Amino acid sequence: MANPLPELPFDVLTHIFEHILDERILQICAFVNRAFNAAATPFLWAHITSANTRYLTLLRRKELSVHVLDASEEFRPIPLREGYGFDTDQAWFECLAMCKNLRTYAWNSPHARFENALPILKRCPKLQCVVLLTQQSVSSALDPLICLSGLRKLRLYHRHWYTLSTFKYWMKLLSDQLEDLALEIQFPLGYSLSEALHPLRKLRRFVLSRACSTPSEMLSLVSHFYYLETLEIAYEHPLAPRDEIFFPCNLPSLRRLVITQYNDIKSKQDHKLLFAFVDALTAGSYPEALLIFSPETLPGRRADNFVTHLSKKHKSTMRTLFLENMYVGYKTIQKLHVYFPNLEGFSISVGTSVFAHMGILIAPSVNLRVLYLHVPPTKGQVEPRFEYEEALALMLQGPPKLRRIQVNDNVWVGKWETRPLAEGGVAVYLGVHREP
Amino acid sequence: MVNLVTSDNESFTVEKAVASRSVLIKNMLEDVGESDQPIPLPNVTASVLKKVLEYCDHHKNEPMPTSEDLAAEDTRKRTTDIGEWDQKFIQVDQEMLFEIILAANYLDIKPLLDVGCKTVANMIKGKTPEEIRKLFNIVNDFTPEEEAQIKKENEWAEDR
Repeated sequence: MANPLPELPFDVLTHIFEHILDERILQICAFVNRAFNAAATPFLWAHITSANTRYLTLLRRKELSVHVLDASEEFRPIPLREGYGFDTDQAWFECLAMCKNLRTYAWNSPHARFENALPILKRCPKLQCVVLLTQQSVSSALDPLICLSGLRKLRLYHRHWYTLSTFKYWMKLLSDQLEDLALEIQFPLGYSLSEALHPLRKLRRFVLSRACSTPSEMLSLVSHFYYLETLEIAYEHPLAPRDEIFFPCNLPSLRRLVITQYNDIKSKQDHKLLFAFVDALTAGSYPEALLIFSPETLPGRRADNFVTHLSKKHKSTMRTLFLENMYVGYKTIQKLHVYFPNLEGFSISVGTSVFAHMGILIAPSVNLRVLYLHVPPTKGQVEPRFEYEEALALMLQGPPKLRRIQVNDNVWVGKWETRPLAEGGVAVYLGVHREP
Repeated sequence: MVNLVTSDNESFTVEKAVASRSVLIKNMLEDVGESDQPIPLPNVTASVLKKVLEYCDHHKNEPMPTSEDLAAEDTRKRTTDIGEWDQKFIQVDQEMLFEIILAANYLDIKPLLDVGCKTVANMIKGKTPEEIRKLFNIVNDFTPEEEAQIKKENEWAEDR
Protein backbone atom coordinates (compact mmCIF):
# COMPACT_ATOMS: atom_id res chain seq x y z
CA MET A 1 0.00 0.00 0.00
CA ALA A 2 1.16 3.52 -0.77
CA ASN A 3 2.35 5.78 2.02
CA PRO A 4 -0.54 7.48 3.79
CA LEU A 5 -0.98 10.97 2.45
CA PRO A 6 -0.15 13.80 4.81
CA GLU A 7 -3.26 15.18 6.41
CA LEU A 8 -4.24 18.63 5.19
CA PRO A 9 -4.91 21.04 8.04
CA PHE A 10 -8.19 22.89 8.35
CA ASP A 11 -6.92 26.18 6.93
CA VAL A 12 -5.56 24.45 3.84
CA LEU A 13 -8.88 22.70 3.27
CA THR A 14 -10.49 26.12 3.53
CA HIS A 15 -8.13 27.42 0.84
CA ILE A 16 -9.10 24.52 -1.39
CA PHE A 17 -12.83 25.10 -0.97
CA GLU A 18 -12.37 28.80 -1.72
CA HIS A 19 -11.72 27.70 -5.28
CA ILE A 20 -14.89 25.66 -5.56
CA LEU A 21 -17.82 27.80 -6.63
CA ASP A 22 -20.28 25.06 -7.35
CA GLU A 23 -22.53 24.47 -4.36
CA ARG A 24 -23.19 20.89 -5.37
CA ILE A 25 -19.50 20.04 -5.27
CA LEU A 26 -19.25 21.66 -1.85
CA GLN A 27 -22.16 19.54 -0.71
CA ILE A 28 -20.40 16.41 -1.88
CA CYS A 29 -17.31 17.54 0.05
CA ALA A 30 -19.45 17.93 3.17
CA PHE A 31 -20.21 14.20 2.99
CA VAL A 32 -16.58 13.06 2.86
CA ASN A 33 -15.63 13.18 6.53
CA ARG A 34 -15.80 15.46 9.54
CA ALA A 35 -12.78 17.57 8.59
CA PHE A 36 -14.06 18.14 5.05
CA ASN A 37 -17.49 18.89 6.43
CA ALA A 38 -16.18 21.49 8.85
CA ALA A 39 -14.18 23.24 6.14
CA ALA A 40 -16.94 23.16 3.50
CA THR A 41 -19.72 24.33 5.82
CA PRO A 42 -18.88 28.08 5.84
CA PHE A 43 -18.95 28.11 2.03
CA LEU A 44 -22.16 26.11 1.87
CA TRP A 45 -23.91 28.57 4.14
CA ALA A 46 -22.46 31.81 2.75
CA HIS A 47 -25.62 32.40 0.76
CA ILE A 48 -29.21 31.76 1.73
CA THR A 49 -32.33 32.38 -0.29
CA SER A 50 -35.99 32.26 0.52
CA ALA A 51 -36.63 30.52 -2.81
CA ASN A 52 -36.01 27.14 -1.22
CA THR A 53 -36.47 25.91 2.32
CA ARG A 54 -32.89 25.12 3.20
CA TYR A 55 -32.76 28.19 5.43
CA LEU A 56 -35.12 26.41 7.83
CA THR A 57 -32.09 24.39 8.97
CA LEU A 58 -30.83 27.57 10.65
CA LEU A 59 -33.72 27.38 13.09
CA ARG A 60 -32.41 24.03 14.31
CA ARG A 61 -28.71 24.77 13.98
CA LYS A 62 -28.26 28.38 14.98
CA GLU A 63 -24.46 28.10 14.91
CA LEU A 64 -24.55 27.96 11.10
CA SER A 65 -25.89 31.52 10.91
CA VAL A 66 -22.43 33.05 11.47
CA HIS A 67 -21.42 31.84 8.00
CA VAL A 68 -24.23 33.60 6.15
CA LEU A 69 -22.83 36.54 4.18
CA ASP A 70 -25.60 37.21 1.74
CA ALA A 71 -29.29 36.60 1.70
CA SER A 72 -31.90 37.11 -0.96
CA GLU A 73 -35.59 37.40 -0.58
CA GLU A 74 -37.05 35.76 -3.66
CA PHE A 75 -40.48 35.03 -4.90
CA ARG A 76 -41.78 32.07 -2.88
CA PRO A 77 -43.93 29.62 -4.76
CA ILE A 78 -47.05 28.60 -2.85
CA PRO A 79 -45.81 25.10 -1.89
CA LEU A 80 -42.92 26.79 -0.13
CA ARG A 81 -45.21 29.05 1.82
CA GLU A 82 -47.90 26.59 2.74
CA GLY A 83 -47.96 23.00 3.82
CA TYR A 84 -45.35 23.32 6.54
CA GLY A 85 -47.82 23.83 9.32
CA PHE A 86 -46.21 27.15 10.14
CA ASP A 87 -45.55 30.50 8.54
CA THR A 88 -42.40 30.10 6.42
CA ASP A 89 -42.29 33.87 5.81
CA GLN A 90 -41.95 34.46 9.50
CA ALA A 91 -39.36 31.69 9.69
CA TRP A 92 -37.31 33.44 7.00
CA PHE A 93 -37.15 36.64 9.03
CA GLU A 94 -36.36 34.70 12.18
CA CYS A 95 -33.41 33.13 10.38
CA LEU A 96 -32.36 36.46 8.97
CA ALA A 97 -32.28 37.98 12.44
CA MET A 98 -29.66 35.40 13.43
CA CYS A 99 -27.24 36.31 10.62
CA LYS A 100 -25.00 38.90 12.23
CA ASN A 101 -22.33 38.77 9.51
CA LEU A 102 -24.65 39.59 6.65
CA ARG A 103 -23.01 41.72 3.94
CA THR A 104 -25.56 41.71 1.14
CA TYR A 105 -29.31 41.68 1.16
CA ALA A 106 -31.37 41.46 -1.99
CA TRP A 107 -35.08 41.98 -2.46
CA ASN A 108 -35.53 39.99 -5.64
CA SER A 109 -39.20 39.28 -5.39
CA PRO A 110 -41.74 41.48 -7.15
CA HIS A 111 -43.91 41.17 -4.06
CA ALA A 112 -41.24 41.74 -1.47
CA ARG A 113 -42.17 44.10 1.30
CA PHE A 114 -39.53 46.02 3.13
CA GLU A 115 -41.06 46.44 6.54
CA ASN A 116 -40.16 42.94 7.77
CA ALA A 117 -36.51 42.88 6.80
CA LEU A 118 -35.67 46.53 7.46
CA PRO A 119 -35.50 46.49 11.26
CA ILE A 120 -33.32 43.37 11.08
CA LEU A 121 -30.98 44.80 8.49
CA LYS A 122 -30.50 47.98 10.44
CA ARG A 123 -28.91 45.86 13.13
CA CYS A 124 -26.47 44.20 10.70
CA PRO A 125 -23.19 46.03 11.29
CA LYS A 126 -21.46 44.52 8.25
CA LEU A 127 -24.11 45.20 5.62
CA GLN A 128 -22.36 46.60 2.53
CA CYS A 129 -24.68 45.97 -0.35
CA VAL A 130 -28.39 46.39 -0.93
CA VAL A 131 -30.17 45.14 -4.00
CA LEU A 132 -33.68 46.26 -4.85
CA LEU A 133 -35.46 44.39 -7.57
CA THR A 134 -39.08 44.73 -6.74
CA GLN A 135 -42.23 46.39 -7.92
CA GLN A 136 -43.28 47.64 -4.54
CA SER A 137 -42.98 51.35 -4.19
CA VAL A 138 -40.10 52.30 -2.02
CA SER A 139 -41.12 53.85 1.21
CA SER A 140 -39.15 56.36 3.17
CA ALA A 141 -38.59 53.48 5.59
CA LEU A 142 -35.62 52.58 3.41
CA ASP A 143 -33.83 55.86 4.13
CA PRO A 144 -32.14 54.77 7.36
CA LEU A 145 -30.91 51.64 5.60
CA ILE A 146 -29.52 53.54 2.66
CA CYS A 147 -27.57 55.84 4.93
CA LEU A 148 -25.89 52.99 6.80
CA SER A 149 -22.29 54.04 7.03
CA GLY A 150 -21.01 50.72 5.68
CA LEU A 151 -23.03 50.66 2.50
CA ARG A 152 -20.72 50.43 -0.51
CA LYS A 153 -22.85 48.84 -3.19
CA LEU A 154 -26.34 49.55 -4.35
CA ARG A 155 -28.31 47.83 -7.07
CA LEU A 156 -31.61 49.40 -8.01
CA TYR A 157 -33.50 47.44 -10.57
CA HIS A 158 -36.97 48.43 -9.89
CA ARG A 159 -37.75 50.79 -12.65
CA HIS A 160 -40.00 53.71 -11.92
CA TRP A 161 -41.09 52.68 -8.46
CA TYR A 162 -39.08 55.27 -6.67
CA THR A 163 -39.37 58.95 -7.26
CA LEU A 164 -36.57 61.07 -8.52
CA SER A 165 -36.52 63.12 -5.34
CA THR A 166 -36.11 59.95 -3.21
CA PHE A 167 -33.35 58.82 -5.48
CA LYS A 168 -31.61 62.18 -5.29
CA TYR A 169 -31.83 62.13 -1.53
CA TRP A 170 -30.25 58.67 -1.34
CA MET A 171 -27.42 59.59 -3.66
CA LYS A 172 -26.64 62.61 -1.54
CA LEU A 173 -26.51 60.42 1.55
CA LEU A 174 -24.22 57.97 -0.21
CA SER A 175 -21.96 60.48 -1.92
CA ASP A 176 -18.91 59.74 0.23
CA GLN A 177 -19.19 55.99 0.41
CA LEU A 178 -20.78 54.38 -2.65
CA GLU A 179 -18.31 52.44 -4.81
CA ASP A 180 -20.58 50.28 -6.87
CA LEU A 181 -23.89 51.32 -8.39
CA ALA A 182 -26.09 49.39 -10.78
CA LEU A 183 -29.23 51.01 -12.12
CA GLU A 184 -31.91 49.73 -14.38
CA ILE A 185 -34.10 52.63 -15.21
CA GLN A 186 -36.56 53.20 -17.94
CA PHE A 187 -37.04 56.88 -17.75
CA PRO A 188 -34.78 59.34 -19.51
CA LEU A 189 -31.52 60.06 -17.82
CA GLY A 190 -32.10 63.74 -18.33
CA TYR A 191 -30.54 66.54 -16.42
CA SER A 192 -32.16 65.81 -13.04
CA LEU A 193 -30.96 62.24 -12.77
CA SER A 194 -27.49 63.20 -13.92
CA GLU A 195 -27.47 65.87 -11.30
CA ALA A 196 -28.53 63.30 -8.70
CA LEU A 197 -25.63 61.04 -9.61
CA HIS A 198 -22.91 63.66 -9.77
CA PRO A 199 -22.04 63.56 -6.07
CA LEU A 200 -20.94 59.91 -6.35
CA ARG A 201 -17.30 60.71 -6.91
CA LYS A 202 -15.96 57.53 -5.37
CA LEU A 203 -17.72 55.23 -7.77
CA ARG A 204 -15.51 52.43 -9.11
CA ARG A 205 -18.14 50.41 -10.87
CA PHE A 206 -21.17 51.79 -12.64
CA VAL A 207 -23.78 49.78 -14.49
CA LEU A 208 -26.53 51.60 -16.31
CA SER A 209 -29.13 49.43 -18.01
CA ARG A 210 -31.82 50.39 -20.41
CA ALA A 211 -31.31 54.07 -20.11
CA CYS A 212 -33.22 56.05 -22.68
CA SER A 213 -30.50 58.59 -23.10
CA THR A 214 -28.32 59.99 -25.76
CA PRO A 215 -24.62 59.14 -25.73
CA SER A 216 -23.86 62.77 -24.92
CA GLU A 217 -25.96 62.63 -21.78
CA MET A 218 -24.20 59.49 -20.68
CA LEU A 219 -20.79 60.93 -21.41
CA SER A 220 -21.50 64.01 -19.39
CA LEU A 221 -22.69 61.80 -16.54
CA VAL A 222 -19.81 59.33 -16.38
CA SER A 223 -17.18 62.01 -16.79
CA HIS A 224 -17.80 62.83 -13.13
CA PHE A 225 -16.67 59.39 -11.99
CA TYR A 226 -12.91 59.88 -12.09
CA TYR A 227 -12.10 56.63 -10.25
CA LEU A 228 -14.28 54.41 -12.40
CA GLU A 229 -12.76 51.00 -13.19
CA THR A 230 -15.73 49.23 -14.71
CA LEU A 231 -18.42 50.80 -16.84
CA GLU A 232 -21.33 48.91 -18.33
CA ILE A 233 -23.88 50.80 -20.36
CA ALA A 234 -26.92 49.34 -22.03
CA TYR A 235 -29.02 51.81 -23.93
CA GLU A 236 -32.02 51.78 -26.13
CA HIS A 237 -32.92 55.00 -27.80
CA PRO A 238 -32.87 57.66 -28.94
CA LEU A 239 -29.62 57.73 -30.78
CA ALA A 240 -27.71 60.92 -30.89
CA PRO A 241 -28.50 63.51 -33.50
CA ARG A 242 -26.37 62.61 -36.44
CA ASP A 243 -24.18 65.65 -36.26
CA GLU A 244 -23.45 65.28 -32.57
CA ILE A 245 -19.90 65.81 -31.42
CA PHE A 246 -18.79 63.99 -28.30
CA PHE A 247 -16.51 65.47 -25.71
CA PRO A 248 -13.82 63.06 -24.56
CA CYS A 249 -14.00 61.60 -21.05
CA ASN A 250 -11.11 61.41 -18.68
CA LEU A 251 -11.44 58.11 -16.81
CA PRO A 252 -7.82 57.12 -16.18
CA SER A 253 -8.66 54.01 -14.14
CA LEU A 254 -11.15 52.50 -16.58
CA ARG A 255 -10.23 48.86 -17.26
CA ARG A 256 -13.45 47.34 -18.49
CA LEU A 257 -16.02 48.86 -20.81
CA VAL A 258 -19.18 47.04 -21.88
CA ILE A 259 -21.62 48.65 -24.28
CA THR A 260 -24.89 47.00 -25.19
CA GLN A 261 -27.03 48.64 -27.79
CA TYR A 262 -30.62 47.68 -28.29
CA ASN A 263 -31.23 49.94 -31.22
CA ASP A 264 -31.22 48.90 -34.79
CA ILE A 265 -28.21 50.60 -36.22
CA LYS A 266 -28.08 50.29 -39.91
CA SER A 267 -26.63 53.33 -41.52
CA LYS A 268 -22.99 54.18 -41.81
CA GLN A 269 -23.67 57.28 -39.78
CA ASP A 270 -25.11 55.27 -36.87
CA HIS A 271 -22.01 53.12 -36.75
CA LYS A 272 -19.81 56.17 -36.83
CA LEU A 273 -21.66 57.47 -33.80
CA LEU A 274 -21.17 54.21 -31.92
CA PHE A 275 -17.47 54.27 -32.64
CA ALA A 276 -17.20 57.92 -31.67
CA PHE A 277 -18.99 57.10 -28.42
CA VAL A 278 -16.46 54.35 -27.63
CA ASP A 279 -13.66 56.71 -28.54
CA ALA A 280 -14.94 59.43 -26.26
CA LEU A 281 -15.39 57.03 -23.35
CA THR A 282 -11.89 55.62 -23.66
CA ALA A 283 -10.19 58.91 -24.55
CA GLY A 284 -8.34 59.13 -21.25
CA SER A 285 -7.97 55.45 -20.44
CA TYR A 286 -6.38 52.18 -21.50
CA PRO A 287 -9.00 49.49 -20.99
CA GLU A 288 -8.06 45.83 -20.86
CA ALA A 289 -11.50 44.71 -21.89
CA LEU A 290 -13.88 46.16 -24.44
CA LEU A 291 -17.14 44.40 -25.14
CA ILE A 292 -19.71 45.72 -27.60
CA PHE A 293 -23.02 44.00 -28.13
CA SER A 294 -25.43 45.24 -30.72
CA PRO A 295 -28.35 43.49 -32.44
CA GLU A 296 -27.44 44.51 -35.94
CA THR A 297 -24.51 43.03 -37.76
CA LEU A 298 -21.90 45.43 -38.89
CA PRO A 299 -20.63 44.70 -42.37
CA GLY A 300 -16.99 44.35 -43.27
CA ARG A 301 -14.71 47.31 -43.91
CA ARG A 302 -16.46 49.46 -41.31
CA ALA A 303 -15.70 46.79 -38.74
CA ASP A 304 -12.20 46.33 -40.14
CA ASN A 305 -11.59 50.05 -39.88
CA PHE A 306 -12.88 50.09 -36.33
CA VAL A 307 -10.54 47.29 -35.25
CA THR A 308 -7.60 49.04 -36.89
CA HIS A 309 -8.60 52.26 -35.21
CA LEU A 310 -8.84 50.59 -31.78
CA SER A 311 -5.44 49.01 -32.16
CA LYS A 312 -3.80 52.38 -32.66
CA LYS A 313 -4.60 53.40 -29.14
CA HIS A 314 -5.12 50.19 -27.21
CA LYS A 315 -2.59 47.93 -28.89
CA SER A 316 -0.65 46.69 -25.91
CA THR A 317 -3.27 46.96 -23.16
CA MET A 318 -6.21 45.16 -24.75
CA ARG A 319 -6.70 41.63 -23.46
CA THR A 320 -10.37 41.00 -24.14
CA LEU A 321 -12.12 42.25 -27.23
CA PHE A 322 -15.69 41.20 -27.94
CA LEU A 323 -17.17 42.60 -31.11
CA GLU A 324 -19.81 39.97 -31.54
CA ASN A 325 -21.77 41.13 -34.51
CA MET A 326 -19.03 42.84 -36.41
CA TYR A 327 -17.87 41.10 -39.55
CA VAL A 328 -14.21 41.46 -40.24
CA GLY A 329 -12.26 40.29 -43.23
CA TYR A 330 -9.27 38.10 -43.87
CA LYS A 331 -6.67 40.83 -43.41
CA THR A 332 -7.91 41.92 -40.00
CA ILE A 333 -7.74 38.38 -38.62
CA GLN A 334 -4.35 37.90 -40.24
CA LYS A 335 -3.02 41.01 -38.50
CA LEU A 336 -4.71 40.34 -35.17
CA HIS A 337 -1.43 39.51 -33.43
CA VAL A 338 0.02 42.81 -34.65
CA TYR A 339 -3.03 44.83 -33.71
CA PHE A 340 -3.37 43.35 -30.21
CA PRO A 341 -0.32 41.28 -29.24
CA ASN A 342 -1.61 40.58 -25.70
CA LEU A 343 -5.11 39.52 -26.67
CA GLU A 344 -6.45 36.61 -24.59
CA GLY A 345 -10.15 36.63 -25.40
CA PHE A 346 -11.64 37.47 -28.78
CA SER A 347 -15.15 37.40 -30.18
CA ILE A 348 -15.93 38.32 -33.75
CA SER A 349 -18.03 37.45 -36.79
CA VAL A 350 -16.41 36.07 -39.91
CA GLY A 351 -17.60 34.77 -43.25
CA THR A 352 -17.26 31.10 -44.12
CA SER A 353 -14.18 31.59 -46.26
CA VAL A 354 -12.32 33.42 -43.48
CA PHE A 355 -13.51 30.75 -41.06
CA ALA A 356 -12.01 28.03 -43.24
CA HIS A 357 -8.58 29.69 -42.99
CA MET A 358 -8.88 30.73 -39.37
CA GLY A 359 -6.38 28.15 -38.15
CA ILE A 360 -3.51 29.67 -40.09
CA LEU A 361 -4.67 33.24 -39.56
CA ILE A 362 -4.81 33.16 -35.75
CA ALA A 363 -1.74 30.98 -35.22
CA PRO A 364 0.55 33.98 -34.43
CA SER A 365 -1.81 35.25 -31.69
CA VAL A 366 0.15 33.35 -29.08
CA ASN A 367 -1.69 34.67 -26.03
CA LEU A 368 -5.16 33.79 -27.26
CA ARG A 369 -7.00 31.54 -24.81
CA VAL A 370 -10.65 31.90 -25.73
CA LEU A 371 -12.20 32.44 -29.14
CA TYR A 372 -15.87 33.00 -29.88
CA LEU A 373 -16.86 33.08 -33.52
CA HIS A 374 -20.01 33.83 -35.38
CA VAL A 375 -20.36 32.39 -38.82
CA PRO A 376 -23.30 33.43 -41.02
CA PRO A 377 -26.37 31.25 -41.44
CA THR A 378 -26.16 28.34 -43.80
CA LYS A 379 -29.02 27.34 -46.01
CA GLY A 380 -30.95 24.17 -45.35
CA GLN A 381 -29.20 21.24 -43.78
CA VAL A 382 -25.93 21.59 -42.02
CA GLU A 383 -23.80 20.75 -44.97
CA PRO A 384 -20.54 22.46 -44.06
CA ARG A 385 -20.38 20.55 -40.81
CA PHE A 386 -17.32 18.52 -41.70
CA GLU A 387 -15.49 21.43 -43.20
CA TYR A 388 -16.19 23.30 -39.98
CA GLU A 389 -14.70 20.48 -38.00
CA GLU A 390 -11.58 20.50 -40.09
CA ALA A 391 -11.24 24.24 -39.70
CA LEU A 392 -11.64 23.89 -35.94
CA ALA A 393 -9.05 21.16 -35.76
CA LEU A 394 -6.62 23.46 -37.54
CA MET A 395 -7.41 26.32 -35.14
CA LEU A 396 -6.50 24.14 -32.19
CA GLN A 397 -3.10 23.56 -33.66
CA GLY A 398 -2.52 27.29 -33.73
CA PRO A 399 -2.18 29.48 -30.63
CA PRO A 400 -0.55 27.37 -27.90
CA LYS A 401 -2.76 28.67 -25.10
CA LEU A 402 -6.05 28.39 -26.98
CA ARG A 403 -8.35 26.29 -24.84
CA ARG A 404 -11.84 27.17 -25.86
CA ILE A 405 -13.43 27.78 -29.20
CA GLN A 406 -17.11 28.41 -29.51
CA VAL A 407 -18.73 28.80 -32.87
CA ASN A 408 -22.23 30.28 -32.93
CA ASP A 409 -24.33 29.83 -29.91
CA ASN A 410 -27.74 28.52 -30.68
CA VAL A 411 -27.54 24.85 -31.55
CA TRP A 412 -24.49 22.72 -30.97
CA VAL A 413 -23.92 20.26 -33.73
CA GLY A 414 -20.63 19.22 -32.32
CA LYS A 415 -18.96 19.36 -28.96
CA TRP A 416 -15.61 18.08 -27.94
CA GLU A 417 -14.08 18.31 -24.56
CA THR A 418 -10.88 16.68 -23.57
CA ARG A 419 -9.99 17.19 -19.95
CA PRO A 420 -11.60 20.04 -18.00
CA LEU A 421 -10.29 23.43 -19.08
CA ALA A 422 -8.55 24.11 -15.80
CA GLU A 423 -6.46 20.99 -16.20
CA GLY A 424 -5.22 22.11 -19.58
CA GLY A 425 -8.05 20.47 -21.46
CA VAL A 426 -9.55 21.78 -24.65
CA ALA A 427 -13.19 22.50 -25.33
CA VAL A 428 -14.69 23.13 -28.71
CA TYR A 429 -18.33 23.91 -29.24
CA LEU A 430 -19.66 24.08 -32.72
CA GLY A 431 -23.10 25.39 -33.50
CA VAL A 432 -24.52 26.22 -36.86
CA HIS A 433 -27.22 28.80 -37.30
CA ARG A 434 -30.11 27.26 -39.10
CA GLU A 435 -32.36 29.38 -41.19
CA PRO A 436 -35.84 29.53 -39.66
CA MET B 1 22.70 34.82 -0.54
CA VAL B 2 20.63 33.00 2.07
CA ASN B 3 21.32 29.64 3.63
CA LEU B 4 18.30 27.43 4.35
CA VAL B 5 18.50 24.19 6.32
CA THR B 6 15.79 21.55 5.93
CA SER B 7 14.39 19.11 8.47
CA ASP B 8 16.60 16.35 7.06
CA ASN B 9 19.62 18.59 7.52
CA GLU B 10 20.33 19.50 3.94
CA SER B 11 21.36 23.04 3.30
CA PHE B 12 20.43 25.16 0.31
CA THR B 13 22.08 28.42 -0.61
CA VAL B 14 19.81 30.66 -2.68
CA GLU B 15 19.54 34.26 -3.77
CA LYS B 16 17.78 36.53 -1.32
CA ALA B 17 15.21 37.43 -4.01
CA VAL B 18 14.29 33.76 -4.36
CA ALA B 19 14.06 33.02 -0.64
CA SER B 20 12.06 36.19 -0.05
CA ARG B 21 9.13 34.87 -2.06
CA SER B 22 8.36 33.22 1.25
CA VAL B 23 6.84 35.84 3.55
CA LEU B 24 8.04 33.78 6.53
CA ILE B 25 11.69 33.88 5.38
CA LYS B 26 11.38 37.50 4.23
CA ASN B 27 10.22 38.53 7.70
CA MET B 28 12.95 36.47 9.33
CA LEU B 29 15.59 38.16 7.19
CA GLU B 30 14.19 41.57 8.04
CA ASP B 31 14.19 40.74 11.75
CA VAL B 32 17.70 39.31 11.80
CA GLY B 33 19.27 41.80 9.42
CA GLU B 34 22.44 40.92 7.51
CA SER B 35 23.61 37.62 8.90
CA ASP B 36 25.33 34.46 7.71
CA GLN B 37 23.33 32.35 10.12
CA PRO B 38 21.50 29.51 8.36
CA ILE B 39 17.72 29.62 8.58
CA PRO B 40 16.27 26.36 9.89
CA LEU B 41 13.09 25.11 8.25
CA PRO B 42 12.07 22.24 10.54
CA ASN B 43 8.79 21.56 8.72
CA VAL B 44 10.22 21.11 5.22
CA THR B 45 12.24 18.24 3.78
CA ALA B 46 14.97 18.68 1.17
CA SER B 47 13.02 17.09 -1.67
CA VAL B 48 10.07 19.44 -1.07
CA LEU B 49 12.20 22.54 -0.53
CA LYS B 50 13.98 21.85 -3.81
CA LYS B 51 10.64 21.91 -5.59
CA VAL B 52 9.44 25.01 -3.71
CA LEU B 53 12.66 26.86 -4.55
CA GLU B 54 12.20 25.93 -8.21
CA TYR B 55 8.85 27.73 -8.04
CA CYS B 56 10.30 30.73 -6.21
CA ASP B 57 13.15 30.99 -8.67
CA HIS B 58 10.82 31.01 -11.65
CA HIS B 59 8.64 33.71 -10.10
CA LYS B 60 11.37 35.75 -8.43
CA ASN B 61 11.01 38.76 -10.72
CA GLU B 62 7.28 39.05 -10.36
CA PRO B 63 5.90 41.69 -8.01
CA MET B 64 4.90 40.36 -4.61
CA PRO B 65 1.13 40.33 -4.12
CA THR B 66 0.16 43.39 -2.11
CA SER B 67 -2.55 43.42 0.48
CA GLU B 68 -4.69 45.30 -2.02
CA ASP B 69 -4.22 42.49 -4.54
CA LEU B 70 -5.22 39.97 -1.92
CA ALA B 71 -8.32 41.95 -1.10
CA ALA B 72 -9.27 42.29 -4.74
CA GLU B 73 -8.68 38.59 -5.18
CA ASP B 74 -12.12 37.73 -3.89
CA THR B 75 -13.48 37.85 -7.38
CA ARG B 76 -10.53 36.22 -9.08
CA LYS B 77 -9.47 33.50 -6.75
CA ARG B 78 -12.58 31.49 -7.20
CA THR B 79 -11.60 30.49 -10.68
CA THR B 80 -9.50 27.40 -11.05
CA ASP B 81 -7.36 28.61 -13.92
CA ILE B 82 -3.69 27.84 -13.47
CA GLY B 83 -0.91 29.41 -15.53
CA GLU B 84 0.87 27.26 -18.04
CA TRP B 85 4.24 27.02 -16.30
CA ASP B 86 2.58 26.48 -12.94
CA GLN B 87 0.47 23.70 -14.39
CA LYS B 88 3.53 21.80 -15.56
CA PHE B 89 5.31 22.53 -12.30
CA ILE B 90 2.49 21.07 -10.22
CA GLN B 91 2.25 17.84 -12.20
CA VAL B 92 3.71 15.74 -9.39
CA ASP B 93 2.50 12.72 -7.49
CA GLN B 94 -0.17 13.30 -4.92
CA GLU B 95 2.08 12.96 -1.91
CA MET B 96 4.43 15.62 -3.29
CA LEU B 97 1.46 17.83 -4.15
CA PHE B 98 0.26 17.72 -0.55
CA GLU B 99 3.79 18.29 0.76
CA ILE B 100 4.15 21.34 -1.50
CA ILE B 101 0.84 22.72 -0.24
CA LEU B 102 1.87 22.20 3.38
CA ALA B 103 5.26 23.82 2.75
CA ALA B 104 3.66 26.78 0.92
CA ASN B 105 1.29 27.20 3.84
CA TYR B 106 4.12 27.05 6.40
CA LEU B 107 6.47 29.26 4.42
CA ASP B 108 3.63 31.66 3.56
CA ILE B 109 3.97 31.64 -0.22
CA LYS B 110 0.43 32.58 -1.18
CA PRO B 111 0.67 32.17 -4.98
CA LEU B 112 2.15 28.67 -4.61
CA LEU B 113 -0.47 27.74 -2.04
CA ASP B 114 -3.10 28.89 -4.55
CA VAL B 115 -1.64 26.78 -7.35
CA GLY B 116 -1.64 23.72 -5.10
CA CYS B 117 -5.14 24.31 -3.75
CA LYS B 118 -6.58 24.96 -7.21
CA THR B 119 -5.04 21.69 -8.37
CA VAL B 120 -6.68 19.82 -5.52
CA ALA B 121 -9.98 21.63 -6.16
CA ASN B 122 -9.83 20.45 -9.76
CA MET B 123 -9.17 16.89 -8.60
CA ILE B 124 -12.27 17.00 -6.40
CA LYS B 125 -14.63 18.20 -9.13
CA GLY B 126 -16.93 15.57 -10.57
CA LYS B 127 -16.22 12.96 -7.89
CA THR B 128 -18.50 11.24 -5.40
CA PRO B 129 -17.74 11.38 -1.65
CA GLU B 130 -16.47 7.81 -1.82
CA GLU B 131 -14.18 8.62 -4.74
CA ILE B 132 -12.83 11.65 -2.86
CA ARG B 133 -12.13 9.47 0.21
CA LYS B 134 -10.30 7.01 -1.98
CA LEU B 135 -8.34 9.74 -3.71
CA PHE B 136 -7.18 11.34 -0.49
CA ASN B 137 -6.94 8.15 1.51
CA ILE B 138 -9.48 9.43 4.02
CA VAL B 139 -11.61 7.36 6.38
CA ASN B 140 -15.28 8.19 6.69
CA ASP B 141 -15.53 9.09 10.37
CA PHE B 142 -19.22 9.99 10.39
CA THR B 143 -21.67 7.99 12.43
CA PRO B 144 -24.74 6.83 10.47
CA GLU B 145 -26.79 9.40 12.41
CA GLU B 146 -24.46 12.21 11.44
CA GLU B 147 -24.57 11.12 7.81
CA ALA B 148 -28.37 11.13 7.90
CA GLN B 149 -28.29 14.58 9.47
CA ILE B 150 -26.08 16.02 6.72
CA LYS B 151 -28.27 14.41 4.12
CA LYS B 152 -31.30 16.06 5.65
CA GLU B 153 -29.64 19.47 5.66
CA ASN B 154 -28.84 19.16 1.99
CA GLU B 155 -32.08 17.65 0.81
CA TRP B 156 -33.26 20.81 -0.85
CA ALA B 157 -30.60 20.38 -3.50
CA GLU B 158 -32.02 17.11 -4.68
CA ASP B 159 -35.34 18.53 -5.79
CA ARG B 160 -33.84 21.42 -7.70
